[in-house]
Amino acid sequence: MMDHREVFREEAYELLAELETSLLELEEAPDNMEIIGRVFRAMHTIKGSGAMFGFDNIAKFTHEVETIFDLVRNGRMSVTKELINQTLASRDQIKAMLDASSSGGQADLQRGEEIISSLRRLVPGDCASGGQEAEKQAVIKKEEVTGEAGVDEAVTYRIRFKPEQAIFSHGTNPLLLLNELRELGDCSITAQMDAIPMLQDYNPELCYAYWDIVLTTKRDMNSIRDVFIFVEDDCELKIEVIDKDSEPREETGVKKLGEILVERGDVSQADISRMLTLQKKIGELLVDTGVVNRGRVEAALMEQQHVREVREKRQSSETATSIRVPSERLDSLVNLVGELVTVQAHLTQTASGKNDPGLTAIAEEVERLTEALRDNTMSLRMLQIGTTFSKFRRLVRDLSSELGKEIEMITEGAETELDKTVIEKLNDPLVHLIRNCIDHGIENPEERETAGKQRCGTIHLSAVHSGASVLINIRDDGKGLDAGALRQKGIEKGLISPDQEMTEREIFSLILLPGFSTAKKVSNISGRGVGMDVVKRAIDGLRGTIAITSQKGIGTTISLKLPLTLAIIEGLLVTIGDEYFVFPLSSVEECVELTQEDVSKAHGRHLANLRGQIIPYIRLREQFAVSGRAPFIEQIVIIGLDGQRVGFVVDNVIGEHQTVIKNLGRIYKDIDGISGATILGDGDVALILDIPRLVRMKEEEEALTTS
Amino acid sequence: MDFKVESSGQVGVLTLDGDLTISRADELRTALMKSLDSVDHLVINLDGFTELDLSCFQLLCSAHRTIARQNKRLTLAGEHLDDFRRIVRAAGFMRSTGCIMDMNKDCLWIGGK
Amino acid sequence: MAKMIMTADDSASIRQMVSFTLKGAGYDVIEAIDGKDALAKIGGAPVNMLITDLNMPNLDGIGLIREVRALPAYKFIPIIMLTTESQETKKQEGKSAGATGWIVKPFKPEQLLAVIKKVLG
Repeated sequence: MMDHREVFREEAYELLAELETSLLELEEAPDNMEIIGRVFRAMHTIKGSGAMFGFDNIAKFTHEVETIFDLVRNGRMSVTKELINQTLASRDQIKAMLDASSSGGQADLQRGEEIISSLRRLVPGDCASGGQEAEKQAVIKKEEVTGEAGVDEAVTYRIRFKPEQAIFSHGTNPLLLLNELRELGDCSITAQMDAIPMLQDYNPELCYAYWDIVLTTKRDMNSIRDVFIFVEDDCELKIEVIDKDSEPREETGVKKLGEILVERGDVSQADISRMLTLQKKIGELLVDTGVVNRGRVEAALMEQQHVREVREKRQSSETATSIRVPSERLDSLVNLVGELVTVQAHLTQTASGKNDPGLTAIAEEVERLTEALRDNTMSLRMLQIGTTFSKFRRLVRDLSSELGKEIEMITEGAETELDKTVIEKLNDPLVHLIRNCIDHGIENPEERETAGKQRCGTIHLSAVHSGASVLINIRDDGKGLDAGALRQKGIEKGLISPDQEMTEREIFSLILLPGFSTAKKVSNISGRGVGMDVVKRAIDGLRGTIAITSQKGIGTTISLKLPLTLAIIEGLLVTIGDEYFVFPLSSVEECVELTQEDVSKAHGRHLANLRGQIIPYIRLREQFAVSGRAPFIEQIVIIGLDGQRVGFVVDNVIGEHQTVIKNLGRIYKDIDGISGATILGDGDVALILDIPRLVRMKEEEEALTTS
Repeated sequence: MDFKVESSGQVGVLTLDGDLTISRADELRTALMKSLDSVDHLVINLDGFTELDLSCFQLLCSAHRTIARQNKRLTLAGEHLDDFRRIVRAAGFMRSTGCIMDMNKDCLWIGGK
Repeated sequence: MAKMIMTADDSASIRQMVSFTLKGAGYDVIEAIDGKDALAKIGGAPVNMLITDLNMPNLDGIGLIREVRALPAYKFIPIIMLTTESQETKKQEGKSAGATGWIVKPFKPEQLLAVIKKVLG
């Protein structure tokens, strides 16, 4: 099969040859309409076929020439020598464009435009605008066609389609149009047959039937009209919207039959009122009394049924997407799952002791199901952080205008999911941090301009998942933290000693200490003694961490790292003597051995050498006053905390453990360094370590001994 | 198209076969008029139809009404009535109750699957 | 049995494209180079549908539609005309001559098939 484009090219050359001959003949006989027709047709074919096969420039150019020749054909312009000259030039130009298209080159467009303007000059004044007008219309039409014809929600339309009786003689089959409507969506169709006459009066070539259609579709009204495009002048077509997804359902449910018939204009309200006084079904009454024919009632009943089904479907899909459950029920579910995880651990441990393959298989199956159940349950408690974010928008707006600052807030990752409890407890610390940004971070518009910044400051709030944690960043482009000033203040407040060497990061962390506030004057917003230490405590309570980075004059970023959930954590189970303890695995970096040799090398100081790095450690045996002797080789669990590394010395590391967190009772709630407890498979209790608190206790202790 | 009257003279069977489309609608109308004149009960056998369009089942509706008015009956017969019903259903011709002219309560557009 | 469609067009490239598209969709095709040719050929074979250009020598599209509609066998067949944007009045003329619908040039093969589905099934 030859390429269509090649066929066109060949054809066009033939037409051009013909065009040339015709034009020369026309010069001899300028009034010969037959020749004028031939010229016009040749150009028309080049234009039409050219456009079909992508020769757009040829189609466009030829269209211009054809438009002018149309005037000649309609007798509004006469054939002159100059017209013949220019048309011949056009013919050569088309040929040049054709030649160029096969060689991949470009014809002289300038020349084309010259020809067109010379041709236009030949057009008598009174018809000059005609061609242009038609062109404009054509362009508009094209745009209409390309317009997207779709709406998101499903709309139910009522359609009355009554073709004129002679429709068959146009070759139209109305049933195909009904089929096309059916393809648009959920469609109910009732034919009206009341116009069908008796056989003796019947004309077999006429269409007597017409249709009432109810269609539920996501396509718009124009798509429905398009179905009837060929017959719109030959039919009665009425399209109305009767139901929409977006419009709230009326409490009364679907419309009554009488209402539908009145709406459709099939009966009057008066008729309905009259019928309602009689105790009988409205439809039967209306038909029996001859007010309306049975077909119309059938159509109204069909509509009622259709709308009812559409709404039922919509309702059931709505109920399927989400249900509301009181949060206590979720909490109790989470507790039960916690119990189950504990029991399952017990089962696994028991099974492994029994050495019974059947029991082991069951235990493994239970373990698998429990894990799936746990993950599912936890995901039920997950909420998007976005609702919290949007609250801050208002906060930023109100506070910044109060302080005469211009601040814009940008949020990112609003769809990030976090445990409901975490989100609730995160609210206050975030409010505090954002207030700090507005109050201390971002400068006045004037200061900003002086510093060469934009008047409007930006607070960037983002959330992103990172493994089993969520990272929340609060970044401002304000004045940043002044490490020197902070250090000075730390010394003044007696928090650090003047000769203490500190990294920038450690200096920034000073603002997290109790009683540290840099605000020069107490404002309404922050710096009222409720400092960053409150934020720090809240984040610790969530088993999260805070990191601060800042550059003077550029801005500050506070990064919060939070666990996804509070109810169950991945833990690292260790022992000290007979006691079990759990580290939150998220903060554990590695485990190394601590030998007596290492201890003696450190000359009594609690420092370990990890690949050349000196790491301070805490002896948990001492911390919790566990009786008995430590083994010869102990283990150090290295923890990463606020950018520092700290070691915790334990007897043995057992391994990872699914830790269901139980609150300690009221009596033990204030025990320092313990945040909770968990029950092990064999029923033993393990205590969960509060790492940040332990580190702080140690620091305070050291501060006491050194001072 | 074939028309046979049973020996009783009461029941006639009109067999409609081939394409029952608009180009044959006139022929069909003539056949219907002729056959219903001569019997009390006209049975239309649709076993042999290959195509069916609106013009023809609209005509059947007219025939049914005409016959009902004359106090006679018209019924459909054939092995392939399901095909027939499928086509008329798509055209929206199925009904739960017959029209006012359905004297014998045997409207062609009721029932079937 | 495959349906027979006649395409009448004086442009060989359009005829070829239409014919190629229709055959690909499972229709049988008869080609005619102008109205006169179409009229001569349509008597010889049962045609289910006619697709015709409007501007053709000898007998143009409007004339062809009128003649075909006058034939008893083709009184009710779908007839589609190929028009260009600038022929709005031609469209009306074609409809009154008995055309079922139209396709505006340039068109894509799928548009052609969609229109055939609309009028022929």
